[in-house]
Amino acid sequence: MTRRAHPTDRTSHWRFLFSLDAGHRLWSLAAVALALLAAGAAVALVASAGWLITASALAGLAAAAGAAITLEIFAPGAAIRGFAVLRTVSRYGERLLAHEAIFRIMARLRQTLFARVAARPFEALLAQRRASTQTRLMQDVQALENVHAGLLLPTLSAVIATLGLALVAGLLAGPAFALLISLLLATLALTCTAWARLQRQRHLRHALHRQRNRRDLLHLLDSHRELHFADPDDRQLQRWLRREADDALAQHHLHQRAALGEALLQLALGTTLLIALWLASRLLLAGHPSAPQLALLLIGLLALGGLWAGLARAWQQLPFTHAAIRRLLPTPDVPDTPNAPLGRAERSEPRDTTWTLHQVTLRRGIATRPLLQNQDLTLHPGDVLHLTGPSGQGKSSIASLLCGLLPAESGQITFMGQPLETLPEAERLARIALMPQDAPLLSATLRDNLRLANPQVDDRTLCEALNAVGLGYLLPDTDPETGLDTWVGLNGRALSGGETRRIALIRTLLQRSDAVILDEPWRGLDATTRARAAAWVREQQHGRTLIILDHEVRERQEGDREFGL
Amino acid sequence: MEPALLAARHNQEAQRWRPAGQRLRALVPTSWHLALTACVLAEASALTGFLWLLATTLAAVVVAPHMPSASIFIALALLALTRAGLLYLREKVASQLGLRLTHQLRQTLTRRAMDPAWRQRRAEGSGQLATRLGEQLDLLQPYYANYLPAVYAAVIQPLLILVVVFSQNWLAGALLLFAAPMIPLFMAIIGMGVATLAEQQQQQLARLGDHFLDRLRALPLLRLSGAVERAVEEVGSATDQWRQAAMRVLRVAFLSSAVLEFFASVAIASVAIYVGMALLGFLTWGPAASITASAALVILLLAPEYFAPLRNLGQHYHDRGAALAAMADLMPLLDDTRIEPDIGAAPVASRWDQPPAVSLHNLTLRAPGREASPEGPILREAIELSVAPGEWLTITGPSGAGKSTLAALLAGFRDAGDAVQLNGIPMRTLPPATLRANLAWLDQQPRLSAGSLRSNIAPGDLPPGPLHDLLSECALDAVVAALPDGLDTRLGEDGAGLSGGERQRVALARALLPRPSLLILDEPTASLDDDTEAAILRALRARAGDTTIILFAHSTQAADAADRHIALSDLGHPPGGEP
Repeated sequence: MTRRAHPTDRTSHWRFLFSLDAGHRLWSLAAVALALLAAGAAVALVASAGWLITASALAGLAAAAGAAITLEIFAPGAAIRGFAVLRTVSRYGERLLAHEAIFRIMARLRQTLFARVAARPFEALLAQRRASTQTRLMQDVQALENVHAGLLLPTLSAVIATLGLALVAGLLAGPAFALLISLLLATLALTCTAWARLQRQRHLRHALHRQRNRRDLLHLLDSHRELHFADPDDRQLQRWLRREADDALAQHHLHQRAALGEALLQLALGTTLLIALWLASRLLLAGHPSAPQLALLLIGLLALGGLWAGLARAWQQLPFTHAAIRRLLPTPDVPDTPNAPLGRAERSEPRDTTWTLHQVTLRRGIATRPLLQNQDLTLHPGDVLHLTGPSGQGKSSIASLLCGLLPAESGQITFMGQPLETLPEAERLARIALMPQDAPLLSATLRDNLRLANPQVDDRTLCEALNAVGLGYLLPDTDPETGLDTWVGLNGRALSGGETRRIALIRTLLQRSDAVILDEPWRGLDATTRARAAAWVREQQHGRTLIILDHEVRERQEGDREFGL
Repeated sequence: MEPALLAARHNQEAQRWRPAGQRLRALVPTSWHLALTACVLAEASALTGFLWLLATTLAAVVVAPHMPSASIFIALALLALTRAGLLYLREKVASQLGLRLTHQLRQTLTRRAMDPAWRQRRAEGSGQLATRLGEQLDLLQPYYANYLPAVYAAVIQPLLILVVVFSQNWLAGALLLFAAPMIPLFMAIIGMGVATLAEQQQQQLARLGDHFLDRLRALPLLRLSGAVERAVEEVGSATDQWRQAAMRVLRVAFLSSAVLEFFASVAIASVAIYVGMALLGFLTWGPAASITASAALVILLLAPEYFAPLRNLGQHYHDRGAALAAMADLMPLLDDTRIEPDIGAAPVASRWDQPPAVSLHNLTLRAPGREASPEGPILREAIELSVAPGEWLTITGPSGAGKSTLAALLAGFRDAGDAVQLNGIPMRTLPPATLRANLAWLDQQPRLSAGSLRSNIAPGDLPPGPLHDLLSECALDAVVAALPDGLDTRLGEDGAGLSGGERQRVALARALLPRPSLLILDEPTASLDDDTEAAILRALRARAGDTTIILFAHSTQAADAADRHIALSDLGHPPGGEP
């Protein structure tokens, strides 16, 4: 089902596209100028060469018949060479400047998008991590980034070059020629845009089908074991393959239509050439003084073909650009999170950080076993609580509950004397440091990873922490602080699951919070390392409330409380 | 992959990409090669013909003003039409080639990916596999649709034009001929420089390029750490730094296309000036004396078209790199051809009338490894087990001890040699179609499609009779009654609209529908509440006797509901230890 796009939708999209290079418009304008220069030089090179040859031919024939040669060839020759060099240089410059402009657009676009996505509700962020969402996001971003260089710039140069030629034609050969070339311009522009508009619905429908097919493929691959037995004749697979074949066929038709658009462009140019030839002959017969000038116009017209080639196909991509914009930018009537926590809230005076749960019921999903049922619990500042339960049962949901990231089905949680949900998210997360079960490693230096929650920590503390949890081997023996410059994560040194978790542990404990929640911090650690890490954790507790979630109670100390699910 | 990064990877990946390139070319049948060649040749001929006729007519009109005859206009119109038509045809042929090849590869790989044994060997997540079969395969398509025809055109069109130009004036032809090899030569030299330069930048380019996606993925963590504002700034600065690094490479890389433009423009300019001088009579040596206006214009009109295919090729060069990278990644998947024969060739499966006896003899249980080494360390050795026909056995044990691996072995997803036997016959020797028709599988994650409830329960052939009995067996009556369209209600993506317990019961109904003789269940009730678990155990109890059931679980209810229960730690012994 394709939504009929509002005309205002598209105008706002165009406005958005043009607004992308605000702040560095100079680069875009320079790129446009060079593009025009390059296009103009290309046409001028060939056209003036045509003029030269025709003029020389006529002068040569006249000379053979006895007249003296009055043709000045050196200036035009120099001009032609000049155009040749100008073409090369301006084309190189155009590509450089266009890419400079595009990359700047990219930086701004990515920053804007990132900020918007970051302000969404927490659950939406978790959904963002699905691979398919990310792939589509990157495709959308790239589609947007390509619009200026792939579509807008070439179209603009082609249009202005054609207008320029029409002007020259008007000067040299009269209004008829100028009218002809203007008509050509109108036809070409119309072909590009109208043809694209005709294919819009098909393109969007095809994109929708393709998305559905990919989703179905993922489902098929996911459930291949069950279907291996439940569907022994592979009906589901056959059906998917048939749909995929239809999809391929539809795509082929779309390509063919794009090719038809291109062919139409070429046909328009060819027809105009023929009419121009006829017109030129008429003019010469009627006594036009300069045949070389007419030859210049005709050959210039031929050179225009090179500028318009590929534009029909480029315009066909426009629906995807609009779709991408629509997906990337939320509609105005959907508000972002009111507590959009972009910054680290300033921690006000530490208050009494008693945590109370009063008759709290929590379920992970409808009709699953409740994790907590009318539960009462009070945690005094400095308490240590071991929360135990089997894997996958929902301990992490309780951690989210205690941070206010997950609402309870019933009951109330108070923290620092007020209901948890009345505290702004930024302050909540500043006061409660949470180490999630699957904390990823950022593609950054070791130092940046460790200091993520607290940028003021000094190197020495970091080194001590690494040694304390048994990660000292990551640092070199001499001058260990340089080891903190090691790049880890993607495109860097890969760390194992246990190592990553310990880094997350350090990160969490170094945060200046009032409470700490650790979700399965000892997973993958052998007994000795676990003991060392636990000792370090106690050292760093500094009187904060500590909650540890795990399968079983490990590293227990005197006075610790326990709670089993 | 951006051009800058591709250039950076080029030197490293050249080894991997060469066989990928060979494979890409080998996939094209000879008939398509010929068809493409014919199209390109015809198109080039039509273009050359059109330009030649236009040039000669224009020259004639200029020298002696007259109106060209109607036949000339008609001929020109026909040539223009032919050229446009051939352009369309060439695009059609190339696009069909690309789509057909991509579709065939996708078909082959998807069939393989649905085979559990193949999947077990590849040990790749379904998400990543889906990306490979989807987006990565798509990258091959532009190689055939854009790059390949451009290569043909870059060989055929210049040759054709060269022949025509030589026929008009051999010196002009020589000029063009000289320019031709200069261009690839210089481009290659520059290319080598770019590759070296890019290699230095590679790490920085990769890190900065991936920065955006990396931080996007880590957004929940950034929120928790209060680092979002900093991250927003970093995204901007990382992209800026990436810009600088990429421009350093691109500044040199663009030189190669500048070389092309330079030689093309200078060649055209030189030819024009030479011809002009010759026409004026300033030059008399060589073929200059015999040049005519029409020959001169022919040469001028054809010269840009001599260089145009090379420029076109440069524009599509990026498609080649992307396709090579994609194919290099896909080749291991394509080369792993060990699967069962196609279903069409399989004989009609025979249904067993009695539930089988399952026995394990001296089975070694190995943990699944990573992709490099599909077998991991040994978990238990010398496992002996006998399950009587129609018996319900529950095997208990903690997670990670090997329950899922054993379940996979019993279902035939992994090859166990002769250790797993059904009715005394090694499972390996039974026809795969028979196993598929008589076994069923259920695990902890119920995976339902977005289709109707009915199509989820019966993904294969629709059963001849109604589903009532099955539904009440699986305690789904109330669920179906509560749905707006009953059995035909479409579930949302991933079976949304139903609770976890309901989804698992639907999955159970799906497994039980074909009346399997052997049922293997891998922790089906682990994340369900007591009521749902009880319902599922009741359904299994109803089937026990007609079905041999092997249930892996860790709850006491599951152990008590069965005929017999045994702990995994009581089976066999740890590696090297005493039983």
